[in-house]
Amino acid sequence: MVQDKTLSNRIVDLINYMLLLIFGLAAVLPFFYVIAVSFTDPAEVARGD
Amino acid sequence: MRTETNQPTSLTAPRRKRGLLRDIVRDKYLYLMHLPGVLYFIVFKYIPMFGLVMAFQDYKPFLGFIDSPWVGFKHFERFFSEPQFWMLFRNTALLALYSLVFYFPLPILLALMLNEVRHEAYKRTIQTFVYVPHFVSWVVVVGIFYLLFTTEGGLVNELIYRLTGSKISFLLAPEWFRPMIIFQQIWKEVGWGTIIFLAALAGVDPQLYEAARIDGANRWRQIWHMTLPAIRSTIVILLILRLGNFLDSGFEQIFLMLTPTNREVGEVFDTYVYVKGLTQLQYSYSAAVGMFKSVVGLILVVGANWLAKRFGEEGIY
Repeated sequence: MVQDKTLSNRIVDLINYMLLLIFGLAAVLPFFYVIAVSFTDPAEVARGD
Repeated sequence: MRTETNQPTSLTAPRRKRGLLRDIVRDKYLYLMHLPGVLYFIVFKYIPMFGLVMAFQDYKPFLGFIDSPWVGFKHFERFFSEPQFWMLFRNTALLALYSLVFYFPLPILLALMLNEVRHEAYKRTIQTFVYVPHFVSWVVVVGIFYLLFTTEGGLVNELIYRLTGSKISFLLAPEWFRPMIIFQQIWKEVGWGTIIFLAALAGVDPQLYEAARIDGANRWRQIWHMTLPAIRSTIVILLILRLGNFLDSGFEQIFLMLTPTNREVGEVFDTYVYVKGLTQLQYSYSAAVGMFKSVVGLILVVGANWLAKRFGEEGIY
């Protein structure tokens, strides 16, 4: 909701945005990983990228 | 413009008596619209319930419901005296408990976090991202987790190996079974679970926040005194509904995650019903097990609803 632009509020906002970004990426990145793995040579994946 | 002179009187007492039929005739389109929903429940929920009689029979497919011999509570007695019973009960109850403690609060938290975001575009992007896993079937989810967590070149284990020099068999070790199940549930459903809370939050009047700010409430005070109370009844209702299928562990997921090494902690009522009913063809016995689960769920729902009402909440009926 509407907030004052105090320093502590900005820091809370920043942390909140970062955490949300991490959650969002955690939800989506595994799919990209699977796609990436499925297009690479199995031997290469087994060696650890 | 007055066409009917005695309208006020016809609105009250006399109309009551005519009752349901008149209502149906008057609101026929509304009733027509909710007919498919009623039919769905009758056809797919109520009619199958008559199948429960097989829990009290020695059901033979060739004899049917009519001619199969009645055996009373034989199957229930067998189930409760089965040595596996307590293991199944413990596994199912623990999974349900962990899910309640670790999964249930998370959508609320995520919804609160999303609610604090002021940039609409950012909020919507994150929302879209966290909704995605919900649309993926459990087979694929478990496949992805296998790919990430396997000791044979899984991404997570490679990282752990490089950091500590040893590997953790997330997918085989019995002690990792429950955390993995709960983690998968969280990953798959947490975003989807926020929708209902965000909908409830959208209904809060912004003027209330303004008033709170003028009264000197800081951000945390606003969350505690305005936002949380706004979704309290939603939380209570979802909690009651969750208790209704407390003993449903989600067959598909558990079944896919089961390995010979974690059967001791992973076998739940749902998988037991499958093994007994569909692979060993003991229809009556597995019906009895399923009925036990449903009865427990019913007791929990009624109990939780009663409790919620005692605490002044709305409840679900």
